[in-house]
Amino acid sequence: MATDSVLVDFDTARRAALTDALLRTGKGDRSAFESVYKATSAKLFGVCLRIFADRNEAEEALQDAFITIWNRAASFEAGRASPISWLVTVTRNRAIDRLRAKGKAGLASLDEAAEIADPVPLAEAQLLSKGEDDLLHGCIDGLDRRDAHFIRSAFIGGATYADLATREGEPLGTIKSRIRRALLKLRTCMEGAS
Amino acid sequence: MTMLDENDVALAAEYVLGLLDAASTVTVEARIATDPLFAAEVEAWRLRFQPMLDGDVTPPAHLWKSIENALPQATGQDVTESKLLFWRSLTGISVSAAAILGILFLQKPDNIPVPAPQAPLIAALGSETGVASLTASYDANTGRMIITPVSLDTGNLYPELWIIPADGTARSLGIVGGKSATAIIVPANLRQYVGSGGTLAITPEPEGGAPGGKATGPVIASGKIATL
Repeated sequence: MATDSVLVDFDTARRAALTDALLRTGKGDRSAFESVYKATSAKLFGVCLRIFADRNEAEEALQDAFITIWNRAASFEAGRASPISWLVTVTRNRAIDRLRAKGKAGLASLDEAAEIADPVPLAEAQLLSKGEDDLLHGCIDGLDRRDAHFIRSAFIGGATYADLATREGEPLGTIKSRIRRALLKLRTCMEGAS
Repeated sequence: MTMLDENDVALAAEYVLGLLDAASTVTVEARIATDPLFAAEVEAWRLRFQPMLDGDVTPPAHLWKSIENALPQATGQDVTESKLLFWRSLTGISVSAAAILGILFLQKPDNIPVPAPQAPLIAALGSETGVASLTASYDANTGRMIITPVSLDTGNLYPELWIIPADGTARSLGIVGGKSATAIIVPANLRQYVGSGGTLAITPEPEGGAPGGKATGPVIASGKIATL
């Protein structure tokens, strides 16, 4: 599979360059930080646009995320996480914090959330069809519709168990155990397929 | 390190999705810091869920300028600054944000004559979400510091206490008990740092303490010292 190995090498080199830039950012290197921005701002802006439908709010969230990245880059441990996973996590968590601070977390209705989670709501998005992408969406679609919605409204809408229990008018324990079952099912689906 | 069961796997997913309340989140973060197998499952869930956030969109060109302008001004004190940043980033909170962590107020006994009265210093060391992990009190006259754990889990590792004064460089105060109170006598050369405004922090470290006096674990609790 020569094609595969070329792809893997390309990804590895890109990951190594990003890891290096992020580690240097952690030491206060501004030009390295700019390289991180150039390499990842489109991806991370996409993350913010998933969480904030409003473009201005998404821009503010992205700015906030990059300042957080600058401040926390020294805590990135190359051996523990991929650089892109770390950057996406910081960005997602900052954006969700902002959403919660605005009192907008966990409020999306089932229809709204489905719309948010649609993989292509953005005309200008440069979407790459990825195997993993299809795998996650395929496995989530295989779950009960409510469970799929709960998972999306937590990850993208910032809903906690307490938010979901309140919104659904169901005991927290009931919500929690059905989501836990769904998560294990999701893992089996994703691990079984890969 | 033990094998993960279904509960652990689901817990890692709940954490990544942000479903948990503040107290459970703290517990999970302490576990991530100390259990590599569990940390790997958390990372695996991050990668599994990441496609939900996919879709590249180039941000407007002016955004980079705004970000650059919002960064602290570059100074000649790169080493100090980066050390401070190191600690801030590890704790996941800024040093000033540490001030919002609950500070315990002890009742100061009235009418008890003390030689050269100096107010006792105390800090509550909390995790990112503000749950107290331990408290510290310090008597400047004797250099004696009492560390009392409230809820501290360092797994197979040992909690090492650090004092971080304004210069941002962490100095070890040694390993403390994770289950019961520990009294330490702060070495004379470090007492100057244990004043108001300093920060106490805990990292999980191997037996015998951080090799070479440099922390290897993440900060799992920190708090600013306050004068009563």
